[in-house]
Amino acid sequence: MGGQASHFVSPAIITTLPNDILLSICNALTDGGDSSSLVPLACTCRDLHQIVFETPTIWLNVFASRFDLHDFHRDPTFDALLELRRREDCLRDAALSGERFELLKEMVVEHVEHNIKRVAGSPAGRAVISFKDLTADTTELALVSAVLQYQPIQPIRARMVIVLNSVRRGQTNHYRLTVSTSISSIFFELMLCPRTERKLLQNKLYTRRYTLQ
Amino acid sequence: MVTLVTSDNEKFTADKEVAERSVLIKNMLEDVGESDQPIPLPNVSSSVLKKVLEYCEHHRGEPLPAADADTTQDDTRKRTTDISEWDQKFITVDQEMLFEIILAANYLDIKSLLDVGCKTVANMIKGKTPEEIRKLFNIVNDFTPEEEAQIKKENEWAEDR
Repeated sequence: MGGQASHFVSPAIITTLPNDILLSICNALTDGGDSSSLVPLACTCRDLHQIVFETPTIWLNVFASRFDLHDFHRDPTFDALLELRRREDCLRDAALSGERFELLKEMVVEHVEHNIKRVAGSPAGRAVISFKDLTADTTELALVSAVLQYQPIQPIRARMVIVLNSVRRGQTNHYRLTVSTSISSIFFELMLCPRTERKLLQNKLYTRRYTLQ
Repeated sequence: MVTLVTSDNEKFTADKEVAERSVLIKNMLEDVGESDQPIPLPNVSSSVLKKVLEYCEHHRGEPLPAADADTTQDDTRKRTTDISEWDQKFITVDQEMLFEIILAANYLDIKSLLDVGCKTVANMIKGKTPEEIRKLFNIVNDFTPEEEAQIKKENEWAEDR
């Protein structure tokens, strides 16, 4: 393949490429829904780390690939297949249009919705990065998706945040899923002041409630 | 015929049809109208333009992607592994030239060439560890050991299932 027989190259030309070109490379890396090569690339240096994890469509590609967002559309009907195709194309698409970002967001939300049990039951630090027992005596839990994991390295900017609150009463788990496209403050306020949730939720983009046995 | 002048002041002559594979050149030609005026390309060196023209010549006559094409509906869109044999051979150059071609394709607005370049870089990255990628592209690891350990831990969730 081109370039592999290269000689010494002046310091990291790849990191000096314009962002739109780096995004095209990242999108080519996720072609076919396989994003496993994005994370090693992001781990090479700060610049590439930022490109991968500060770009919503790129990050969502990683998330989507990791969690099989398409599984819920494996339906033999024409409409479902059409929708599946649209979503798969969306994941491959390099364009960061508002419309596609919203679609990607929907896909992530949908995934969490369909996997609440799995997400809630995931070992801490794997499917979810933060598993915080807010009030151990009432078994109220807050799960925050991987979007918050990079906070120690980079300040959180405009990433999507998924918060899943769970309250267990008897044999029933009650969940509240909240998705926001911005802001670290939600997370920190929830962690620090769980009683302010209701007020905070009024400003969020998306909230649903579920009850699972 | 169109005359193109590179950053190192070398002149190239190309068929209009070939040169117009570049949206930038096409627009410039439309702006100047019927004229023998050379087109200056201050961001492209002669060695790179030679390669770019070779690519454009080979792909002469092929349909250009529409500027506003909806790629989500584009059935002909090729996947990473689908670089044609000729394109693969064409892009088998040293790394510096590869990135120069990518930058030139971006500047000249030749989408198909930009795609080939980006896919080639992506293919070089695939399957490699961070250290192998650093070595390949001469990337300096600017994470502290603590940060690197933390990133590694944080990214476990995204690794292969």
